Amino acid sequence: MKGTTRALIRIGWRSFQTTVVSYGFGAMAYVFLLLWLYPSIAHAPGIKRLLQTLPRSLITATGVTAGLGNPLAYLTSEFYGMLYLWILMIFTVVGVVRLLAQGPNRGSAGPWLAGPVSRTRWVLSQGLVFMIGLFLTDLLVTLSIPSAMAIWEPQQEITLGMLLTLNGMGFLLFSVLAGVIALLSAGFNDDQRALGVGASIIILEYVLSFASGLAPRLAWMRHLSIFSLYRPDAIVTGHQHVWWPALFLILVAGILWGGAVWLFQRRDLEL
Amino acid sequence: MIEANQLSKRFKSGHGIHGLNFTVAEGEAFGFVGPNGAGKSTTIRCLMGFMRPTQGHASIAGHHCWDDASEIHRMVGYIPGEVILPENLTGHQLLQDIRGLHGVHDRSRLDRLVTRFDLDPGLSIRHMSKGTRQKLAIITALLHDPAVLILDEPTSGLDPLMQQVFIEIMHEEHERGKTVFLSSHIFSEIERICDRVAILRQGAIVALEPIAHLRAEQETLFDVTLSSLPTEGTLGNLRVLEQRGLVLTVAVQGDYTTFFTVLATLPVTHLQQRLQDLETLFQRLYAEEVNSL
Repeated sequence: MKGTTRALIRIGWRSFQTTVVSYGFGAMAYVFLLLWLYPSIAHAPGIKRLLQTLPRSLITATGVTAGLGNPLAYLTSEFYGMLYLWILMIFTVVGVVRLLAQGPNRGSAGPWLAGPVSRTRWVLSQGLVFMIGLFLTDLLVTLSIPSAMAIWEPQQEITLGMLLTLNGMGFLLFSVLAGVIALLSAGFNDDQRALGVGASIIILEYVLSFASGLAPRLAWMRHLSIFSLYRPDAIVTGHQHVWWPALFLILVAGILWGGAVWLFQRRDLEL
Repeated sequence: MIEANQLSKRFKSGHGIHGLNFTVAEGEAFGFVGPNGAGKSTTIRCLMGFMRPTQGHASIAGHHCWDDASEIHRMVGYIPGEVILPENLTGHQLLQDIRGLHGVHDRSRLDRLVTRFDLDPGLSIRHMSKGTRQKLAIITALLHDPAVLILDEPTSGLDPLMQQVFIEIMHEEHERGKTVFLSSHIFSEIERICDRVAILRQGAIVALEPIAHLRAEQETLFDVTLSSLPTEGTLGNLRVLEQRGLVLTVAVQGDYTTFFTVLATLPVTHLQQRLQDLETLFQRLYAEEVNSL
């Protein structure tokens, strides 16, 4: 790795590390809290009957289809289907805008961009910093599950492959969403606008995915949402083949990040 | 070293720069003067490859400023018109990062600059005053010992002592053969550093002159205080620019004999000499071009 790239990664990481630590440990704390609550929920009398009385659409929309039979299935509905997505959605929008848009638009990246740094190297190095941060956040979540289970559900065994798939697919999904934000950050010369438009697009995508599970006549909406490629309940029940969606997500992420580089190369910078 | 060929950048508002042509030789200090909004910063952003010209092109040492911007940045030290630095860093961290980017291993030059500018790099940038940030920006531009310096209003916010230090350093860099492109709206700064100067007005160059030529055109101004008002005809051919009570401001260019001959006939109580500043000289020489825009 060239010295300038190493320096750019160090510069980006310095501004991003606090976000990674707070979101990573925040997500970890949620996992611990949920698994601490798990025995009282899973073994509560009448919980199965309660679930059976709920409308099928609500169960589908909230992702409880995997049931509460084991901690991972429980986490898909209580964490991976909702909290995990919201935490990483905010993390992605805030993180990518901070790394890619704020510096060039507000001028504080002037000292770096006036250095021997091509614009391509700038976007890719900051993108790499984001990916490292996303990976570490996901890693903390992944490690927190067996750790919490060792404390509160030691008799339960965890399927390592399933756990890695859940988090690996999450990582790919958010690489794509980060690409959308990167594209906006590279194109707009106002980081607040990039933040607003980016957050709106991601929330719309999420809402489309959520709404598609509410009624059969809304099922078509899932085809408009990238979130439909990440189905934690289907992964846990073994109903989703992940290779094609994974390849598709990698391809789309590559295209979006490539587009961000292309746009950033062409815009005027007021530095 | 620096060349602009029909360099134009037109904004939606209609403002910008229009067909600028100039060259700056290697080792030359070139001044770029003009009022606010004349297009100085836009020109500099085009030279730095931050803005894509709508027409024409600029190059530095044969490298196209837009296409080879990172190559340009390798050899250029740049101070922007508005210094904005990352607030989450200390001065020391910023300087370390800049050294890392430019691959500067020897820190002796950095240490010398920090000492000369009397900077405390341990301070958080967030807590630095405008002047201290400016000093830090100057050091970041100079620490990799660049062959070309592109400076946009570099002394903005500096106290007079630090302005003097900056000018001394510019003289030293100039003597070491560095090329300097200095933009300013302060004529005295340009006058003290540059070999040639271009005046920019509403995006166009209205004059481009060697400073030495301007100095030859420069008039000496005398404030002559008299004990009584001169009678008609006693002032002869003197060029009186202004009269404030018993004080006359007389402009003299070359012909001192006539000036002192006339002065000998007048009741002079006090005489003070000063040089006409370049700004006034420009107004005198290029009034037509400037006013026609």
